[in-house]
Amino acid sequence: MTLPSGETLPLMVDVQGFAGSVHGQAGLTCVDCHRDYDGYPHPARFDASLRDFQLTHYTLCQDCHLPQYQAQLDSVHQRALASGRRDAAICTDCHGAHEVVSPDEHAASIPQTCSRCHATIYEQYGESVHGAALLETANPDVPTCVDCHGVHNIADPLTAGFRLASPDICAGCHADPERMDPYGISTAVVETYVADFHGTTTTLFEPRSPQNPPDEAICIDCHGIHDIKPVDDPASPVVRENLLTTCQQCHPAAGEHFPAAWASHYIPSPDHNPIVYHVGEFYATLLPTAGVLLGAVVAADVVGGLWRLARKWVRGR
Amino acid sequence: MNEPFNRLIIRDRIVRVDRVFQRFDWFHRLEHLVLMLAVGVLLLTGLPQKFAQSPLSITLIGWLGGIQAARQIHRAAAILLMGVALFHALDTAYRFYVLRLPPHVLLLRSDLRDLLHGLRHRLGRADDPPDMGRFTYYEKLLYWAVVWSVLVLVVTGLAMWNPIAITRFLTGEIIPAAKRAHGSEALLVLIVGVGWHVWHVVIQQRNWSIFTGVLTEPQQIRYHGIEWDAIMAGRDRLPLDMMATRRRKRIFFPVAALAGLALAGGIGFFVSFEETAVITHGERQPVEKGGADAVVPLPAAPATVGAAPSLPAPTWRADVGPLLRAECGECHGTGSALDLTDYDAILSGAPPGPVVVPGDPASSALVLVQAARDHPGQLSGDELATVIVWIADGAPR
Repeated sequence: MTLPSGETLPLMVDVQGFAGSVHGQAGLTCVDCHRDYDGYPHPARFDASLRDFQLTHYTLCQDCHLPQYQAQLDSVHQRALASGRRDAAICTDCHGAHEVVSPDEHAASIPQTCSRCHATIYEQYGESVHGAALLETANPDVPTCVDCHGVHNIADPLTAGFRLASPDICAGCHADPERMDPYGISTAVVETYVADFHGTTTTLFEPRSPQNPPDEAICIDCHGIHDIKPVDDPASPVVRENLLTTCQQCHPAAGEHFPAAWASHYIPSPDHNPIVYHVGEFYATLLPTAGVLLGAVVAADVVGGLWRLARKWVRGR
Repeated sequence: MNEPFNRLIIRDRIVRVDRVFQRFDWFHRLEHLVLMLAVGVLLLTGLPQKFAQSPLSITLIGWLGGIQAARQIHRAAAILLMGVALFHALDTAYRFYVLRLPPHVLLLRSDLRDLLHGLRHRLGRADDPPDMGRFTYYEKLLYWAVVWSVLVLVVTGLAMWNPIAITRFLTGEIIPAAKRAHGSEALLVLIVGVGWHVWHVVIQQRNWSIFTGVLTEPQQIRYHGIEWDAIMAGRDRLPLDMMATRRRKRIFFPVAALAGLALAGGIGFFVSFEETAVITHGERQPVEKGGADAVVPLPAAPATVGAAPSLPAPTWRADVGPLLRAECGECHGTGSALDLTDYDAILSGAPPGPVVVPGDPASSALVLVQAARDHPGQLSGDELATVIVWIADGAPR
């Protein structure tokens, strides 16, 4: 059927394909979705273009998938749509219409779906430590797009709120020993970040100003976003040779020794950051000693005072 | 205890009258007040940064106006602390050099004896605590602990204040080491300088002389008996040679002024010369307002404006009028309850209110109804974008 726009709206459906889809397998039939075609001849339709047709039909999904439909109403895609970006993704753009398959079947299909619109980011992701593991070795542990961005209620990642909350996204996996131990990756990355100046600041900043971006660096400022490389990759912005350049993004006057001021996510030990370690050990001895000694003096004063009182009382009798 | 109050015998000394003894002059009292204020503010603004994840810290930082504000307050208090330390050093030099006052606060062998005596007394092996002079061994220890702490805190604090400058000369690891030492030393100040000091002086001795300036005679005898003896015998201050004092003043004041200016200048230099990081953001009012977004997801400027900048601004006559007549006229035509085909009619609207608010698409019912995308007559996205731009432009005729 030719639309006013000159595009062709295909009226044929691949029956085999539909039968294999989640809806076909669930026993749904054509009229479960196409309900406004009562009578013959069918009522006339006035869709000017293929996109008009899609935009008037995708709202049908909410009849069965209301939570997902409502979630996507809050998404960055829906917001773009409302502002007139007619190509912003709707249900059927990602899931298809007649041949919907479960997105859980094949993890790599998720970034491939997003790549239809976000091709540049897909390329970056494919070369990142996460994307390469997924696309080349089908590793099930690495994050796909939706693990960080969410599924239906995908938020605008360019807001300050998203930026400020993003360390929690990274921490979701990187602070979890169950996920990290098999790869020998340290889970101390979050606590060492919070213990450092940048992390301390953002930790104290977020609860008060969740909608404002702090100046201090968060994970993605040093490690990158979609193009995160392994930390021993020569192309990584955090590998020793590149670290100064990375620091200079925010500290333009930084010199060659400056990057060592960042403890590199290591918990100080005799091997890593020995000065910090020994300063820590010194105070780890001094503080309890001072506390115990003065505590003992206070206790002795209290006990001694009571003892003298008691003795005076005995003598008084 | 049959003696009247002014006839007490304390530690073999007769309290003859209930008089008071000057202990601290106004300058030392003022120094202590400023030190107390500076340390209090520094601990209040600093400890939440050491324990950043504690809910108490988060509350406290909230009261202080945010982490950026807390850091500014911390640095201001640090300058105050460095200032009072500098004044104390100059004043102490004046007392020793010009006034020839004895260096009471130096630790001596007798202090070790007093400490052991005090320990025996605490253990019940000695009836009385040691008889001591102007400054007791615990006061001297505390004084030198404060000197040590202030030195450590100032040096490590300035290192964190100027990490780029410091790492020109030293390994970068100095900075996290300074941070570790700074926070731990602050805890030491909290335990010893605040916790122990307040317990011992205020609660145990009920000694307010640092604020009032004076001790009662029983306190003077109990805690500083040897000094009482010296005062009674007139041995507490040596006669000053006026000529020699004047000569020493002539030397002291220029030297002290130079040293003071140099040190103050050094402090000023160290706290102001480094621009450590690019500052792009402050703590401002939230950029996004949650409430407005929840109603209708309309950005202030439609994305299509940016996408097609070459298009001429839409007008009623050329664009919106024909569009609405074609798309909406069937129901909302001339004579209907809400006429969308006439410029004047669309601006006046119909109950409950106007459908177009020139300049404000997000308040215009026409846009709100269409953005919901469930109106029987539905504009396409491009058409709605044209309408939004037209309204944003002030709905020109």
